[in-house]
Amino acid sequence: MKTFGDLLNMIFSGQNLALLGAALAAALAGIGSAKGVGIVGEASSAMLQEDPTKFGKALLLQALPGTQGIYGLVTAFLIINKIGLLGGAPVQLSTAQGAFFLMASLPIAIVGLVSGIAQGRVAATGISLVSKRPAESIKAVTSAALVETYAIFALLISLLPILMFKV
Amino acid sequence: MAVTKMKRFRVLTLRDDSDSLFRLMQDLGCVDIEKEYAESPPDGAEALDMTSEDSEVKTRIAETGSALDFLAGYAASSKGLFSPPREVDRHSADNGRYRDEAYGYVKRAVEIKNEKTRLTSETQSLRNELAALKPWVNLDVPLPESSTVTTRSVAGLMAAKTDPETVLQSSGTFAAVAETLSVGKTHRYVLLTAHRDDYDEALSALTRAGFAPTPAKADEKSGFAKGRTAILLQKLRADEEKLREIDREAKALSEQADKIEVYHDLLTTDEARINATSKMAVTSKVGMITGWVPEAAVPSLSEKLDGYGDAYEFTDPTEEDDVPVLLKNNKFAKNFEPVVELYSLPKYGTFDPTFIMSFFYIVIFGMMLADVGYGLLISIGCFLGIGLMKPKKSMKNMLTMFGLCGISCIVMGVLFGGYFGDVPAVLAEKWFRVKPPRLALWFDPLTNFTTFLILSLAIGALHLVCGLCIKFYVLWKRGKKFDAVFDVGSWIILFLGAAVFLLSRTAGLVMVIAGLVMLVATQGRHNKNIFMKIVGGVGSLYSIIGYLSDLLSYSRILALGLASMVIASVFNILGTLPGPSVIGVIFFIVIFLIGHLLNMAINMLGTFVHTSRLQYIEFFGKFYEDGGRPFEPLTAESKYVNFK
Repeated sequence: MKTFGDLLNMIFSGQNLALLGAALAAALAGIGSAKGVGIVGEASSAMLQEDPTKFGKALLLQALPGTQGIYGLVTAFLIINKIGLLGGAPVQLSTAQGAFFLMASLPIAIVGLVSGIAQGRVAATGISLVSKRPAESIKAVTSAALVETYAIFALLISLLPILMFKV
Repeated sequence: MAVTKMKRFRVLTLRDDSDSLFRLMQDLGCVDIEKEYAESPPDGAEALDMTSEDSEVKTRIAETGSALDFLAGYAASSKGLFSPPREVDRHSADNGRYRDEAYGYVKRAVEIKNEKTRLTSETQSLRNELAALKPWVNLDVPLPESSTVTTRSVAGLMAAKTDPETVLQSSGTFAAVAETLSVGKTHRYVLLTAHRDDYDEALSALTRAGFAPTPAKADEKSGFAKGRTAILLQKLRADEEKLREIDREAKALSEQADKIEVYHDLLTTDEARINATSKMAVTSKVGMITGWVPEAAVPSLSEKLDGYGDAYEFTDPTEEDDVPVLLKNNKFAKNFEPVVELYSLPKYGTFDPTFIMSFFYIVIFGMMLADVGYGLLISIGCFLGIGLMKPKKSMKNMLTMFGLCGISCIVMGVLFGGYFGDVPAVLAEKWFRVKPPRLALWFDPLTNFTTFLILSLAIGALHLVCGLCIKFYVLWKRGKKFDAVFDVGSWIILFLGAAVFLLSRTAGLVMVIAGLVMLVATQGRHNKNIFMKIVGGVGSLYSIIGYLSDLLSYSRILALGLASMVIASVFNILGTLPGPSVIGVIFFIVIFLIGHLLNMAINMLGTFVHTSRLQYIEFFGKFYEDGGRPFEPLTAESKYVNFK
């Protein structure tokens, strides 16, 4: 390593950029889910103090915002697998190719973060529906699950370039 | 595939006969009793006060429920999760002797339940007192305090490591003795005896060092601690014997739980009837009942009523009536009624889309979860559940529906190559080092996703056009033929033209232009001004954007389908990482089970919600008129058993 330019080249190697994409997908979508699940958990613990028998229904609502984290994980895993870090020889990537993976990870990273939190909010208000009218709880689940649509679309747009990439 | 036609049913009956009339209606289970008056009873009539009957039956239900909860703890064989409810003939069970017998059991169970609660808390306090007395059994002085002419004593506890004698000495000379009777793990038991004058000082010195008088109480009359202990022990023995006696009796009573369960359901049935009865309006002699009856049940009901000699009539509902809605569908489609009910029932007299929806539901569900493995698990689970649990009607419909959707998943899994994701391919490639087999019979959506997208949108287009056709049909039948042809028909021609365009350019183009011209020419027809007519016509084309966004919404079929496949394959790759060793195989099995269970759970929920959403928003949005009130006939309400 001689110059600052060499340092930059080393840090922003194709491999590292792809890894950065995987990290963003897992981390941001994971944060979204953690926050979302947390919001619902707070609401449901308050309700369960009054009526512990509704645990199952509350748990279903609490699990809903957890999927964004899984989508992020899946994207990260696919990237890591594609660049050969899981068994097999690591693939040599140009900086442009690494950046390609980084870009591809952005939809699920960003939408996962925001939709996880938004879905958590909807599910948390659904908890009060479960506590007052348990028979109608499927409606709360449905409206919370609709928020996830956009995480699924984002996942699709993240996955397609990664799957199409020929190494 | 229709909303059942209802008749308004009115009957005038003698007040004394009304109970047997309600019993008859409850047996038939085909009358939805309506409150006879909206706010106050009609002139000359009054509301029937059933509050005392109602509160009595509610109390008995609560008692019976609490008795059953209590006895459940004693049942010899706990009922399995999947054991179906018993079938009981309500009429042979429902007689005064049976009810009295069962209520006797209930009262006894509640009595011994309360007695058990009392005894349990009593034995607990006895045990506490015995434990407090234990260190002092050899002490023949009253507890905790005693006195003679010149001295006073107190027995108490302090920390084991503190020596009370040193405490007393270091705090000055007192005419006091602190005798340690015994030392336990954490506490020592101390008897402080002091001259009356020095007692207070000595006690406060010890108290500062952590001394506390014992909670135990004993006096000379009871024979000090030893005598008191004996008395308490005797009491405890007696209580424990009573508790055992209660347990024996509860165990014996728990064998009558079957009878009590039937009694409970007889009571809930009474409650439903009392509730219906309170909706009557009565004069001193006559009662008037109003309700709704499905048209098909009218003959059997009137045949029964003729035996009563009451005046009754069946009339058609008027415009203002809030008629309850009962869906009527064939054996296949009725399983999908829960999906419609979840949204909202159609208004009375409007179109019931269940039959048409069920086909789209089943196809779209399968495409979103195209996997043979998951489909098998869903179908087996649902059909096994029906066989084992014998669930009630709505639950049974729901399970059948998911079972059918599971079969659709299997078919789609064969077409698009989903076998727990791509397990066969991954295993072949990673472990057996052979060329992975081609899994998909038709095509693999992971490599041909554009084809899958087009397929999704094509199904969407069909779904939307179907919705428009229903709208056309509904309008046409209501005599709004112009509206049907111009507002809906032109769109149908336009969309069909777009489809035909893919096959034949000219024919398609002609249809599209014809549709557009119809729209521009007719959509402004409600405006008076000729200029506004043109603006309205051209403006209507803006709706194309709405239809386009509806159509693109069906891309979620692709998104959910791919998501389930990719997540499954990620778990498969992860599981096969360690290679085909013994540990590797164990690792694979663990990852396989956890991963696919998780994936199945997430995607089943997602698939259910999004398949339903496509029906509710894209499909129902074209024609559906919601807001129907469900038909809830007076019938035998049961929780524990199924009444025949």
